[in-house]
Amino acid sequence: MRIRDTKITFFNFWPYECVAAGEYLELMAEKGWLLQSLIGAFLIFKKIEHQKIKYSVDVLHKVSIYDRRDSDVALEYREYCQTAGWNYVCQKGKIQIFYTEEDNKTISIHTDEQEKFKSVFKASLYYVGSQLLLTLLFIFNLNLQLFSGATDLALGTNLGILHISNSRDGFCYIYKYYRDY
Amino acid sequence: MAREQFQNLTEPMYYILMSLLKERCGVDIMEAVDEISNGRVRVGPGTLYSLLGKFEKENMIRETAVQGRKRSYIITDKGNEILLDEYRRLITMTNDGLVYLEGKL
Repeated sequence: MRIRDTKITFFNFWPYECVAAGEYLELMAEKGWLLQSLIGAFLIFKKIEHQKIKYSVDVLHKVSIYDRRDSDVALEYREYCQTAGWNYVCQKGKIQIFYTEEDNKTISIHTDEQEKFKSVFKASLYYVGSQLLLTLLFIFNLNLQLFSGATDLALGTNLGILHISNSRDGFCYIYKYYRDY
Repeated sequence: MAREQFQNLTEPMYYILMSLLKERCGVDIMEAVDEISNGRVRVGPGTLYSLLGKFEKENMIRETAVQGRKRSYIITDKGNEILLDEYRRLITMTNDGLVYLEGKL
């Protein structure tokens, strides 16, 4: 969506996708859009001249996702990055976004790839873990509704009724239901 | 445990510890490393920040002063010992190399 010199795009990313997010932001800068802020999964860009900007979408594991924005740890970290020539843009949970216009002169934030990997890995665990938990709950729910044989549950939900109407054993289910009551 | 983790210091670790032989503010370490290594080794701010955290946790460096958000650090006896161990190891490596590699270059 574009309103005059502002553009809003939907781009959701997790800590383990930080490199891809950086590439996306660099592509937007080449098209003439500079990232201004971030609200949830919505990125807000401001119109600039087409130019090459180097982004660093960085993961700071030390900050908790429950911390308020601009916590002391994050501010201290940003000071380090700003001294090295990186301009701070915004943060999203553990993710901190920086950019620099002088790509050649500025040293990259992480010179040790192993350290970076550890930080991204630790920060991603929470997100991956919660996704895994949701998936397991969904499978458990499906299993309960479709294969546990509990007739109450089978007739109690739309999914159960759909399953009965499509299955060969559908009549058995209904028979069992009436027999029980 | 700590000994095992920092038995072989990486290049940035070695230079960071060396720059902390003198009390320095965290941000100044980047410049100091650049200066000591004549621009050969450069430490990124993210790497420096996480390494300082680790060193402090292992009591290899200690905080000396806090001014606003600026923290100053200095090396501890334990850190000094690990740094010297690494220094001796590197010298041994060079000397061993001298015997076998001299003349082949």
